[in-house]
Amino acid sequence: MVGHFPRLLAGAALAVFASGCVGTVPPPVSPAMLRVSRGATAQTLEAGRITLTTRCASCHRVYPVAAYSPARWAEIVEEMAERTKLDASQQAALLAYLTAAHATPPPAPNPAG
Amino acid sequence: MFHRLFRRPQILASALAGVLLATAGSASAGQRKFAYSYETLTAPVGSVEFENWVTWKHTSGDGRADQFDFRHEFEFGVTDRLQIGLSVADWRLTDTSTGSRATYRHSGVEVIYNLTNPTTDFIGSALYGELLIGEGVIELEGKLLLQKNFGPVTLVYNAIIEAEWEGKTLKHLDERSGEFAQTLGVSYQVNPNFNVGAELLHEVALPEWRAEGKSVVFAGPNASFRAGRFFATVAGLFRVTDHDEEPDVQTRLIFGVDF
Repeated sequence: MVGHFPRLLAGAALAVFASGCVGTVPPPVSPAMLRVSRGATAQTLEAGRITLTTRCASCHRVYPVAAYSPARWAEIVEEMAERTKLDASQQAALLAYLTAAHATPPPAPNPAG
Repeated sequence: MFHRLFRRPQILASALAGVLLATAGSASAGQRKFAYSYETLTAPVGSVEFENWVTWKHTSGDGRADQFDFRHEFEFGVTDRLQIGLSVADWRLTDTSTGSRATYRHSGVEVIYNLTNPTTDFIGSALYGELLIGEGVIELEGKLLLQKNFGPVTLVYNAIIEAEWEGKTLKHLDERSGEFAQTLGVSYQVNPNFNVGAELLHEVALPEWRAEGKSVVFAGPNASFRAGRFFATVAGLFRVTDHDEEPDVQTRLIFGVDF
């Protein structure tokens, strides 16, 4: 039993990680998101998304953008920016991404499945 | 026991520095969710974190022993993907039926390079390398770190290969050994300041790097807390395989603070 343990453990780990495609992922920057971004560029929104999935995610889960209103997101970002040492541009990009993603309706399901 | 410990000036200085640094100033700590596994995201650029580790291993029976391994380490975020750690001092306190003694083991450097993101990519990954040098020992360690985040759940897997050369001095390293290890961890975020989960540690000794040695498995719960800019992570692992000469239980506490 123990002799097989390395293979069992490695196999279990691979199986778990192979299911990674079902993880909760913040929506990627899209043309629809740009239309509601109040002038923010795609680069700015992408920078905000990267901040969300690296700086924020290093301490806690990534919450769905729909979990809070834009006003509440603004409060949260301001509160957390000091703790995570985000500079003004990073803070602005993060808030721009959260606001734009919140205002963007999720894509319709593909009828082809 | 403790008067012997405090005869060692380097150990005492290291301990005092740890206490002072850990209680001084303010910080913005990242939070380790696991005590025996590394996660794949690295520290932000420009950040400095100080971590204190203590690992207690208890062995019962004829070879009864309590072993405490201490580590004091600074971690620096160098780029968005690169983190460097400096281990100031690793030292050990051993308490057996024949007495107690404290020994300095080694100091060194570790590097973590993030490859992919555990939230947005199919799987998060990073590479880890460590070099430790002591009075008569050199250790090299490499790790493959994998991680996947599913909302409040974090899964990690580490594959570890370690090589060690030992001798009376660094010029006479006539003994060599190795180890392969794997860790698997799961953590659930109860709230942004508190995570609970479980960890599993599997170690395979590779004496002389040739034959496969003992294969030992430990498993148990973990928890991590954050209060402002400080964090603490603890795990208690119980041996679930035979090998009575190995520790019955081992517990690791990591206390960290960012500057």
